[in-house]
Amino acid sequence: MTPHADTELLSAYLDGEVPGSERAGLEQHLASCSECSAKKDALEGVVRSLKGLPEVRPTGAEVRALRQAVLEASGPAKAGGAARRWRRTAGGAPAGTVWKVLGAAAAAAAVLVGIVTFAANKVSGPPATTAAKQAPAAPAPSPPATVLGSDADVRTYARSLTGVSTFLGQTHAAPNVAAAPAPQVAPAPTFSCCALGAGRQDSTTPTTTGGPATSAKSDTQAPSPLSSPVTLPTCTRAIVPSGAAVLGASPVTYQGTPAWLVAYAAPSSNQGVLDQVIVEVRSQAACALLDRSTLAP
Amino acid sequence: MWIADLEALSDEELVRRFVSGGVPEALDVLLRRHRDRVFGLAFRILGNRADALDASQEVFVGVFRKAASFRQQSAFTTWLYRLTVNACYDHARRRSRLPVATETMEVASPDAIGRTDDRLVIAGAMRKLPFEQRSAVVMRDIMGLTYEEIAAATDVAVGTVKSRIARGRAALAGILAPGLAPGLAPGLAPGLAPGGAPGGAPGGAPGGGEHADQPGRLTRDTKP
Repeated sequence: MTPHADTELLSAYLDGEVPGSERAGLEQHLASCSECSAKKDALEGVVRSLKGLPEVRPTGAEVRALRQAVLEASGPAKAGGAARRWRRTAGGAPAGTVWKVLGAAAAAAAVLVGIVTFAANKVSGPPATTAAKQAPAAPAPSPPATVLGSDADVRTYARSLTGVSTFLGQTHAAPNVAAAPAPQVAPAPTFSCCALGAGRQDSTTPTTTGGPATSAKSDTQAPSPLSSPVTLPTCTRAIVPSGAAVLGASPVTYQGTPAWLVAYAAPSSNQGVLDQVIVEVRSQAACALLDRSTLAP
Repeated sequence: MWIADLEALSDEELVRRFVSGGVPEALDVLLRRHRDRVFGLAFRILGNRADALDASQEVFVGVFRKAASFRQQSAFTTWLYRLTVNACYDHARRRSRLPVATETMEVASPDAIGRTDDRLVIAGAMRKLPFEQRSAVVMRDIMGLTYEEIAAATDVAVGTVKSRIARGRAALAGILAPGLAPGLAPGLAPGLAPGGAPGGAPGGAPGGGEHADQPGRLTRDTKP
């Protein structure tokens, strides 16, 4: 029996990068060796999955932001000076011109969609009981979730959550005081990985996962469509690491997918000081990560 | 000058018109030609639109800033890919400073995922690859580049590209379908260790992981 084919050879074979003479021998081996054949199939499955991914294009707003940023940075009128001035901040937070432009776009979108829906959510308050009564009967009417289309939307919306804005305000006021927000922030439950299957058990007894502000609590208990395999409390418990604190959570629609938005305060270093806000958007179906942003005071 | 006339010009000529000729419309033509591939590549490497947009901005600003150093030794598009990969590298490095605790949640278990959106699962698995493998696999399997083009864009030998693609695919197979071919990616056990998978930082920690290639994988500057 011929020796087994290594991964590199099999991978190259899938790309048609194995020369004819060698290829014949390999094909002969594959026909008789189930182990190598299974390896080849597994690699082929990966290639097929990747090729099946949809093409991702920039949206109209993103294209405009991109164009504007490039014009500002390197337009003929500003050649040289502007180009040299163009620089990202060292901190790593997106601070390029794109963000100024997109920020305006996001703000406009928020006026149209976000604020209105958010206000509607607020007005209809903590309708946990109402929803609990309605949901089983109604054929899962889509919840009035805030519609978010991009990372910028997520940031804007997250900042509008009371718990988040309060936290950012506090840390901004006293950036160097260790554990300044701690007295008001209940520790999050222990991080437990991969226990998503337990979600169904929790769906009837939503528990608060802890939050500093009252609004965060009510948001955490906000109505979740019962059809979801993973409830917001379950998803929140699963994703928030120990040592972090939940600031707010809400059902949203992110790029057309029903999702949970969870904002929590976390330390940026191993000092343990809660000095940044992580905003995660997770699918309601499986608590899978759709978007992740960091907000600094 | 009419847009229709600009459309007929080469990429290099468009860049020159924009930089020195005061023809802002040249930018529009150039953006229309290339924005999708630049943004698409950046998105698949970095995993989110915000970073992809930021990286795209860096790429196109870089095109005009470095236009003088571009000397047609490689195709313009290849040069653009190179700028994109480098911009993504910078972003991934910055992102790697963030806490990583939640990333271990990415792929709970293949059974649980079977019913969710495959695209999200793939994206989650991609994030666990070391930067070099991820970008090579994206360029090959999603963007459809040849080994030679990838080698030119990442400034490494074709053999290195071949190896990165193979390792990247094997690691993905180990994550997405661990039972299929257990021998393929021995470093990645089914279910994933709680500590996280190699290169599991958000956006990917460049050079992380046990299959790291030789040092100096990506040149920081992009001299054509």
